Amino acid sequence: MTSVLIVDDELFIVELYRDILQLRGYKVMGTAFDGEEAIRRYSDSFEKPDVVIMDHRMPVMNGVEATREIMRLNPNQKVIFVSADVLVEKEAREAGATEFLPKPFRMDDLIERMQKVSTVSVMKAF
Amino acid sequence: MNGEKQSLGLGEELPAYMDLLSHDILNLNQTVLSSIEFMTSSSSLDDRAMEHAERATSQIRISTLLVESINKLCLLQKEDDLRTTTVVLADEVAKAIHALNDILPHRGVRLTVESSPEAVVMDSKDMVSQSILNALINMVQLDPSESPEITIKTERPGTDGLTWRVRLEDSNLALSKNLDLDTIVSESGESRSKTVRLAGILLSKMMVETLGGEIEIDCCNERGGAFLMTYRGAVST
Repeated sequence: MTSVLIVDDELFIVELYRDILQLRGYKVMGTAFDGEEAIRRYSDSFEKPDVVIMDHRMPVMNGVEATREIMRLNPNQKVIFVSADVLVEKEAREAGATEFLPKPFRMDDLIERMQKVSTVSVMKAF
Repeated sequence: MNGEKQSLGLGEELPAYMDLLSHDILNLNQTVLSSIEFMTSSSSLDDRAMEHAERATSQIRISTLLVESINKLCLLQKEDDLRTTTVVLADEVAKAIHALNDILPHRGVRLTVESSPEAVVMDSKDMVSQSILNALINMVQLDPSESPEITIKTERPGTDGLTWRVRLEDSNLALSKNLDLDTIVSESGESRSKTVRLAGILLSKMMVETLGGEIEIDCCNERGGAFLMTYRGAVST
């Protein structure tokens, strides 16, 4: 079962992602409402998530900085960057994001990207 | 207040404000879109409810396109020069058609395309395809028929050889008679009521003009009409 960490400052969005992903058979390991909390949760968890869903514009620390820090902790981590700010795509990819999805998107598109990055990481393991 | 109009003086700040506003609107759209998806995937809705859910999704996606287009135009205002590139017009038409079918799958739009493969025009920030898409969506919204039929033609207007025109034709288009976009934006009062449901074509006009082209509306007396967008052609060296 693919595990996920959801990072977004909008409670409504976090709850929707969580409910839909759980409905589709994903394991939501945790949620965070800003970049700093995401790093804290990531560092504290023994078992790392297969995928991190990362928003960009958040209080305290933004998604690009949080992605950079998570990639420093684990260079193999898969991060799917989701943002309404399309201009940040280049920066997000440079920070280590594997995929970029502009908001608003359909959950089917997010799930497709999650399957893609999970498959890539399984293939790399062999 | 002395009754005089006060200027908000938003000139330089406008792009930044629009960026913040559009970001929040897109986040709101995300919540609505995901809520609809959640409702349609978690409960057994009847066909009619599913139809409404599909339409609501289309409306959200159109609102997203409009907000993105406005934001793009505002951001361009603060750039010193328009960084242009060249694109093949037929490819941009194809991109717009693909997006149209993705945004409005339930409208069953039937398209006939007559593209000129040699048409190459100046573009910036995907505004050629987005201007065609905005106009196409607006055309579908203004067509009351069950399955709109639109013809897209690429043609060379006049004899200067420096421009290319995309002509969108719909024999069922329901437009106000003698609609003139220039008059609408310059006049106030009653005539402005004609601008209702013309957001797409107005954005298309701003994009085409930003690229150095122009747009016209060809209205028929009863029903039907055409949107004509003229783009600057790439000058061969």
